[in-house]
Amino acid sequence: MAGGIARYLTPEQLQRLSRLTLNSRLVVEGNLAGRHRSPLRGASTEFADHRAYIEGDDPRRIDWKVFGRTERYFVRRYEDETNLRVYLAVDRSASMGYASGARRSKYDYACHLAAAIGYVVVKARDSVGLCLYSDRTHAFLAARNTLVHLDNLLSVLADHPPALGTPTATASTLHELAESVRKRALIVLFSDLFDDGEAIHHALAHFRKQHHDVILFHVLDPDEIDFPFRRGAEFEDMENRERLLVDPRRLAAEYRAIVADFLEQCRKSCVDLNMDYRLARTDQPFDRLVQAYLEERKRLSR
Amino acid sequence: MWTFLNPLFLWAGLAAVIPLVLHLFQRRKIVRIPFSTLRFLKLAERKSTSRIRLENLLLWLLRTLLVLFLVLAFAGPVIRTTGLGRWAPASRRDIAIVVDGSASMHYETGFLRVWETVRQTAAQRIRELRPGDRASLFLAFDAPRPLIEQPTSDTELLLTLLNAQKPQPTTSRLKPAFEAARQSLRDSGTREREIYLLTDGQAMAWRDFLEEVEEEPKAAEEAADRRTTVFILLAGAEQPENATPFAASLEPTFLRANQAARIKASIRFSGAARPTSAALLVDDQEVARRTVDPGEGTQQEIVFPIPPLAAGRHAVRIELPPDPLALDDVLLAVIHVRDQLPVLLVGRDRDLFFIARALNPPDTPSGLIVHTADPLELADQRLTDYACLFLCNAIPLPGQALQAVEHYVRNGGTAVVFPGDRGDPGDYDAWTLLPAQPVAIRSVPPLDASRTLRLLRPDDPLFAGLRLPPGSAPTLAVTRRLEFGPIHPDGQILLVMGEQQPFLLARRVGRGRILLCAVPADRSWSTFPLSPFYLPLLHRMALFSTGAGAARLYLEPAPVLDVTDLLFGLPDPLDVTAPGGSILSIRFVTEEGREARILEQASEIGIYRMTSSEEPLLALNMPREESDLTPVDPERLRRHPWLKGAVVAKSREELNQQVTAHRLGRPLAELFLWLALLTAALETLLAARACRRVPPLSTQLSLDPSGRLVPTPPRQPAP
Repeated sequence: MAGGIARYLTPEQLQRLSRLTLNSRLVVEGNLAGRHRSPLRGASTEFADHRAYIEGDDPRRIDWKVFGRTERYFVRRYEDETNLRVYLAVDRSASMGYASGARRSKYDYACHLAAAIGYVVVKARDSVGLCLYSDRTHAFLAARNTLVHLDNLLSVLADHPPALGTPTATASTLHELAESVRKRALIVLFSDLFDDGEAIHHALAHFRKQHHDVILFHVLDPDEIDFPFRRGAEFEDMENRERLLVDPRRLAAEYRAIVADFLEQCRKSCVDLNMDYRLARTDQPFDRLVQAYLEERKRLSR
Repeated sequence: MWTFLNPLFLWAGLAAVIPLVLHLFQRRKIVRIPFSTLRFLKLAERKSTSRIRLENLLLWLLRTLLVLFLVLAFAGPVIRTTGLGRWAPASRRDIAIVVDGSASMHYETGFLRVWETVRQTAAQRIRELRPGDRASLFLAFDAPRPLIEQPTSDTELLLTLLNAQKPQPTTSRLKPAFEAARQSLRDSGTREREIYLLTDGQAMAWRDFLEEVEEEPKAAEEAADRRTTVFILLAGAEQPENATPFAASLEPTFLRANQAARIKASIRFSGAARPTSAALLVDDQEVARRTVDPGEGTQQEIVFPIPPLAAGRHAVRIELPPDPLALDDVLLAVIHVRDQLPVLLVGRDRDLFFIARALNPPDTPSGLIVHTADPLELADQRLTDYACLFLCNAIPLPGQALQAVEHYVRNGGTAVVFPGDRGDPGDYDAWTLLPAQPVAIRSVPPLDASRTLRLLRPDDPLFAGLRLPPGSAPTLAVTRRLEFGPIHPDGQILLVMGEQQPFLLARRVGRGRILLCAVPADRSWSTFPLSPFYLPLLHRMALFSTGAGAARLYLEPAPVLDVTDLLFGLPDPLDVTAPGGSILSIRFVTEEGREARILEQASEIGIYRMTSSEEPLLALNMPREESDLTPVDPERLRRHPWLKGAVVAKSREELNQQVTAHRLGRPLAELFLWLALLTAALETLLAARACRRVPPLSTQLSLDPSGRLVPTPPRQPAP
């Protein structure tokens, strides 16, 4: 097995993941034949509609039964089926480097999630690409459907860990990504979304406008949710190095209320835009999360 | 004005900056924690800044106050109520000390007698006098006894006099002593004045104060002196326990040799009454013992039988087990047992023929000495010398004689009235003590003359043990008889003749008794003198008469004791030996034409004996009202205008504190400790509230395994 995949996934996890599939809920545009619905008409067995015969059409497609009834020439058209192109958008801002205690950092957790999703995609002969960003796009790999490509992709992730002081500009980067991916694809976003909420909402809406299907994995550390600190301390912002002296016990109630509102706002944005929103806590086993999510997605798409 | 008992502790007030210093110090040793973003923290801080600032300010204030209160409490602040405090020039002070010297001061509380506590307190007040201060000293008895009447600064003299005193077997009245103390301070000018009333707290000693408040509050208000501070020490037990033989009486009061009798004793309890036992000792030999169960009451009557005693005087003791006030556990008495009882027959010779022979048979010793007197001479007789008085056809009596008889009966004598031809029913109108008023003298027809006597009240003491001669029948032949009007409510018919006609009536008057017969004591109206009932009935009347002139069993101390009744049959002059061995003389005095024998300077408790024969003569007991140790209510005392603002203490230590508080000021250390406690409690509450635990957000989020966040349903508003 290639080095990038082995870094994030064990053989047992690979075996479990190989039985899963990631389907797009929307029609997608691929360049290969596959099992995902395409907006184009092609040569599948799924009948779509009739069209009047024009010169140049293959006479073998003329529906003679219709000619018999109407004495006019119509050709039969069939649904085109194509492959899925999945883009993994991973946030590598400094805040993603936060890790409480012995837990893995949010970025590391996001890489594991991306590896698992990417493996499932490639195993289904779909294509996977990468967009690694913070305040700008650090790496963009076009979608391809080989394990070698996936391995390279994960190596890129491993080689670009978050650096302290790296700010985030999720919204603007997502706009760029939405513009750069022309054909309908599935965008899987891994981020803590520590940016302006309204701007992120607009960026996500941009994806929908471009007919992309979006899955958002909101990666957070448990300490960011619960704020369990007890002693007074000076907290330093990992992105802008700003410092703030607070007594956590005195602020805990207000902090938790604000975070609860933030989570609800993110969830609501995704629901409004018909996207999948998933909260990924870094204390959860990532493979279980992916497995549970994909099974549920498959069940709901039937 | 403020002053501090431990001013050095005020330096500890600098510790009030400790909370601030700790706060600043904490800032410097802050821990730095890298965190993903501060955006939420900033929002949270913005929302709670004003709250946290207020909480911080309150916490800082409370912590500073806590330190300050503790410092103040340990510094011992006192606030002066009068004067200018410890550091101001000391003003001169005059004090008057009144020490209760009554018998109840012998009460033992723990290891000390109340007297010792009070004496030591007085001595401490004297020793605390500063140069220029003065003191006067009084003992409170029934009348105040000044030891130093004018204030003096000679503390040695004061202490010597005080230490030479001891409680006397008397009661005490504190108000006259208080007035004497106030009087002694009237020339004190601008000096500070203090009166100390040092007593055991017995309510009896305060009765003048308590009664005055109820009777003449305005007069007491006008006489109040606002310049003098009164300190009261109630050093006795708060719930004293005491039992005492309170009183004793002899039945019959005239006791003849070899005659059984009984002593009735009252046992009184103060405080929690417990069952106890009482013993009767005659001539130091125990003759009876009784259990005394007080039940719910405070007084219990017990009766001791007295065996027949030889003629003479006998010392009697009624003893209870020892209790904290041992002085009143014994009641001493002297019983005079006589060879013969004197009775007086009033009437003319022919009227007394039968009765004189019946009471004093020629050949048989009756134990009675019969004296006779004409009705006109009755006023000259000293009736108290006689156990019983028989009036035979003696009515009408001169007014003075009638008054003497009534006085005799009221004071415990027995008078027996037999009618006769001399008096009409109207002559009885002047008598107010008869059991029934005679309304007529009725002649009885010969055919109805025979009457049988019948006892209506066989349980009356008069008939106790009455035995008629064998074969005799109580039947009379009556020719005339007195007819009576309505029976007095206190009167009763003892004997009837025939079916319903009263024969002998009785009525209790005061401590005595009067008997009225329907027929004379001679044969002029009936055959009563010939009846076998006649002689025993008359003897019972004489023997079981109450006897107004019976000698008192015991006396209580007084400056002058009238002992006339105790010297019956004894020659003059007479010397007596006091219990302590000193010899006192009984003096003969004539006062307003009345002869009396008096004993002076008898203040020792015990049996006084005749010096010549060692025979007991009189018993002197502690005043029994002094045994009532019911404590006074300090609140009632404070209602008296003279004692308004008085400082009342229940122990020597408390009094010392109160005196110090008065002279130096009121101590506020305890108040500051309470404030510190309250502040600490508030600080704890506020700090706990500020750092209250809020449930983690994770427990409130509904997160399924696939990471889906289920929206929490909005809370329903409370109905």
